[in-house]
Amino acid sequence: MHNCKWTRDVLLDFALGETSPEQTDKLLAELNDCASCHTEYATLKNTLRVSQEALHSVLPAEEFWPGYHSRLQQKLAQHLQDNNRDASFEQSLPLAFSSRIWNGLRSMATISVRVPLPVGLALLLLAGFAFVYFRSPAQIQVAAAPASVETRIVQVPLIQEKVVTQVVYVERKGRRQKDVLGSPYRPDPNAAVASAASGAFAKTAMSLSDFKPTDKVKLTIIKGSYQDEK
Amino acid sequence: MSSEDELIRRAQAGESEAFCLLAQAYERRIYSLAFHYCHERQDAEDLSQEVWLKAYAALRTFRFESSFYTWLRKITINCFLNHRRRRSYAFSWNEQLSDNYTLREADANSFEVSLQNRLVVEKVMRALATVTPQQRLVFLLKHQEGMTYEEIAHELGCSTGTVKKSVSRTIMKLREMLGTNNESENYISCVATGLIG
Repeated sequence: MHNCKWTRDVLLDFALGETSPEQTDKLLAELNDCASCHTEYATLKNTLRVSQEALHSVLPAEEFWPGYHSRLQQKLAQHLQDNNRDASFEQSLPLAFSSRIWNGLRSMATISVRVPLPVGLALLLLAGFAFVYFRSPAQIQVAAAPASVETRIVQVPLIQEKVVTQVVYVERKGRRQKDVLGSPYRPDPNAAVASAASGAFAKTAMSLSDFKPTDKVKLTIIKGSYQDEK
Repeated sequence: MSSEDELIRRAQAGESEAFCLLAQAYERRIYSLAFHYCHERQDAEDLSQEVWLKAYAALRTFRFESSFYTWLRKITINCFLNHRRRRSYAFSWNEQLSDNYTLREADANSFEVSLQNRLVVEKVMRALATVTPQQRLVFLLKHQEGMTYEEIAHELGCSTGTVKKSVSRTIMKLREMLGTNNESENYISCVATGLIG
């Protein structure tokens, strides 16, 4: 059964030589069966031929080409001359050390390396993973910690213990008197008054008026919220 | 080793005369492609010579993996595409300009036939002027250069469907302009001139 639609659809491909051998055989059979499709094909083929001949016919005349070729030669010579001049100018200049470094850096920056596609993809993936790893939340927290320092004043109870040692000498007059009299000590009020008046008794009384603390201080720091907790 | 390969090797070694001989062998095809692409004589010359300069600069990269013309055509297509980006052709078929070109068959035939041929050529040129530069380039690569849909798609970076559509649209325009859609007088006159058999 002839199918005009299918035939017309593949007609252009057939006219341009883009059909497979099977399609070509089928199409030739279809064209033999249908006069309308055959006319369509002939028209299409003629259009292509006319356009091709028209395109070929508007080429310049023969006398155009020697001039064209000489102009092309001139352009090429000019191009070569420019390139040579640039190269010789660059060579003639004594390059300073800094400009040599700069040229080296520039050539490094513009260097291109041919990398096979799988290797390139693998490198890209690796770079991506590395980026994700180094930008993970844990790393970000660690990196961000110095930025969020908070200063708080905490009161820590300190217990200061002072060990004070002083030797106090007390003059024991009563014992001497007892030793003399053979009786228990009975302080003589008159003697006490007399000695007090003379200042001798001030030595006997216990006083911390002239106390000087030692250099040793024992500190105990109790951590925690209770003072008795050690 | 063919003489072309020998010329290429000499040109790669820096012998500009060898390159000029290579250019002489293909300059008409490249110029023709450029002229039908941009339809301006001066533009075509500039564009085709730019292709040759680029080819000379890149000649060391040619590794004999394809034919020299295939490699050259790649450079040509890239040049055309870059040229199109720089300047979009307000394309029109310049009749005065067309007078500068000698229609081949006009020399041998009578004035009437020559006139008829000129009319047909103008119609073809006008039809090509109505499509986009990309469609025109696709049509030229397919019809004039004989490239396959896949090759064109690969070179232009588009799908084969796009290539097919471009060719189909250009041929539709050609048929409209030539009057071959409805068997009109234009078509008959084309047959009479001998362009259409």
